[in-house]
Amino acid sequence: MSEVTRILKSLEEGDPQAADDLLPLVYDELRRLAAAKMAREKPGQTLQATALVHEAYVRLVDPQGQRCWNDRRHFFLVAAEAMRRILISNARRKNATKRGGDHKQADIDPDDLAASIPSEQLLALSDSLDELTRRHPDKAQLVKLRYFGGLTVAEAAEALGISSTTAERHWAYARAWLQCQIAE
Amino acid sequence: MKDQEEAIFHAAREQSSPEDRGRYLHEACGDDAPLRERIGALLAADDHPVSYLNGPVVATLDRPDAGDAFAIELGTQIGPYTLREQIGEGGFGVVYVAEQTHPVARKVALKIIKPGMDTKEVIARFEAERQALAMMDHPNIAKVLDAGSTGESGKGDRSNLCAAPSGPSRQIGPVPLFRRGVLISPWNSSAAFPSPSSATMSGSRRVKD
Repeated sequence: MSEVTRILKSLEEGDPQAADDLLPLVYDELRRLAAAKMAREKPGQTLQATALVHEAYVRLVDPQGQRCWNDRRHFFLVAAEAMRRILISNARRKNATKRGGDHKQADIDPDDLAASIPSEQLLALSDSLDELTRRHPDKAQLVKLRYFGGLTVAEAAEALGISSTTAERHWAYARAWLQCQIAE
Repeated sequence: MKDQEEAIFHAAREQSSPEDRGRYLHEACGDDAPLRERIGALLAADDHPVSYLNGPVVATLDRPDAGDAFAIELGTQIGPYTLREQIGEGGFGVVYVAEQTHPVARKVALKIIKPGMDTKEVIARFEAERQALAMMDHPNIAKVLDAGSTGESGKGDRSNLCAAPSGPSRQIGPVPLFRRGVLISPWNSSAAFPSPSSATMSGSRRVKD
């Protein structure tokens, strides 16, 4: 049984600590996949960041397509958070570089996967998402699954165990709320 | 409070016309102007969502050789050279004025191949350029003092560099021979050279570090 499968099993059995154990593994795998893509693709190539999440899932959890949905559910919750952290830390570093930070580090890092929105915008989004997490944790999770995990609203609803009507409403409210928050 | 705001937001969304929506909001918010304003802003955002909030985040492979992203901070030490000023940039390389303190104190022009551009082909051009310059010995032609690799990324991403004397005593304007030197080398980007006024080359040596 792989490390990731073992952790997903503990998550399934209700061990909340397991999510913390899973995050660094998924984070590393995402960075590794991004670096591998860098080596193959042209610079400036766009891709769904979330396609990497799906690829990581297949590599880490589901080599034969045999895993149950519960594994997927836990995996995507963690992977969406991992992808958010990667994009945010790259955006922060990019911003620091703009202000005269360490160019060498920033420019030669091979897994510099950047969101295609300006880094200031991404950082604002992430801050607003943190604020949303404090006020409406359930909606924030839905948004993370959607933005950084690449799930549809219906899939996210299933992952969170809510009806798709509720998810649609949460999604509409959260999106409007974030937009207002960022505009402030 | 926030539940009320949310409930009104959803109910207002479901109204079939702008007029109905206005009437509903008037009724639901009463005299609470701040509430009315907040919900108005939410509804406006809902009506016109910005595209990047509408679906999964798209990422780009933001490689350093993607264009102008490459810059090494001035003051950076590369071997015995300290970068002082960027004086030129081409498709493959960037040229800096750098200061050497050891074993001799002098100013040099230092050309660095951009990370990611150090393919076999580009390195071969770089080598040919160096050879071409090495065959010429004239005070007005740039002299290659040193060549090697910055090896700074530590990830197998090695940037080649060469150094040539530079400074006020050599600032002499465009030199035909130097230009020819560029032309005869397979390296066809004259922009990758130091500006003619600050670069002169003659004779060379290559070191691998």
